[in-house]
Amino acid sequence: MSYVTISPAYGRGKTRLLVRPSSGGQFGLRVEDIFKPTDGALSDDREQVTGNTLAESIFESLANAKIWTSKVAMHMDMANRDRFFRQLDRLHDAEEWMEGDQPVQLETYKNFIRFMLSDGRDSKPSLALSADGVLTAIWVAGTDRLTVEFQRHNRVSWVVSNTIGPNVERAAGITSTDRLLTNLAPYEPRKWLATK
Amino acid sequence: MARDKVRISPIPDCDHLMRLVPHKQQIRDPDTDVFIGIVNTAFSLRTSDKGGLSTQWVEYFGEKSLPTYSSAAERYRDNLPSKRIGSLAYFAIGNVGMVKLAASEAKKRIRVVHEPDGTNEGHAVIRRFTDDDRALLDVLAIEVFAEHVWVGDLDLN
Repeated sequence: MSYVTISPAYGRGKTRLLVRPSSGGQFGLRVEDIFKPTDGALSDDREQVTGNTLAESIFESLANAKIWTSKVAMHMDMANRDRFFRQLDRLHDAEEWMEGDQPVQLETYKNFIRFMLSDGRDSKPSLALSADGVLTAIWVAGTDRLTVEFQRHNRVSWVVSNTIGPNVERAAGITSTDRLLTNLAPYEPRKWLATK
Repeated sequence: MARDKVRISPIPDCDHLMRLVPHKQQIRDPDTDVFIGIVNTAFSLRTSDKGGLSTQWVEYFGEKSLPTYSSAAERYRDNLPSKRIGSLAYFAIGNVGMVKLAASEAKKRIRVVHEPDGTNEGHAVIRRFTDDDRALLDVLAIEVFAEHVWVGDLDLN
């Protein structure tokens, strides 16, 4: 057994949730489960949190993200897992919360982790959260920037900004997560994704 | 009950706009959380953006300077239901003419208008703005609203 620490966005203290070991297929998720497409899924994270107070919704969303991460942790570098948790905690800081905002949608977080377990494994992105709870990852290399919104149903919306001499070259697109690297190929994505 | 008529007027191209960027829409170092910049989704429309992208008109409060930013931020904050802004928030500042130029290059015909909102007399709105063009949001975040002011550097009463 192991624990996942949840820092509530509202209220004091921390909660430690007991989770099952993530070192084997019996309890954790197998690779094929992690990458299982979610298109047509019946569940809706936003519906799941409806009816809760904001504090409960934030706590529940954070807990769900961390518990799900613990199930795939055997495929993930521990330092990466810890950093993702710290980033998630910061994004849900109650002191910084804006009225009307939504906590992270689990499906968008899963989509991000799927990418990180495949093409983004060796990189260290900044994370941001839209008002409606969509997770965005940002990779910065000098003045060049890659921004990817990890949406639901295995979709991503990406923007590249590359400085070429005095000009800025910009491109954007929408694709599936597994096609992202192919879409980015003309823009030398390794400068963002191959280094920590 | 009839609503009071809101006075709407265009804002000169040489003037400036301020938009609040909360902590979670900033680019921060993944380890140290040091501020690096602003994410393009900071220019996505929020539920609080009524009829366009909501900003503060800097010059309504005086000459472009830190004390003026403070006045504009204070008025913005006081009109929020919570009457508070996070201590890690930033304001991004951009020129009206550059906003229009970026929008026109993205084939959007926006209008930048002064539109008081409640007690916030210096409120400005970018009308006919849609957030579907992520490349435009990127231009706004990186090139247009390129001046960033931390609320900790403002004198807020």
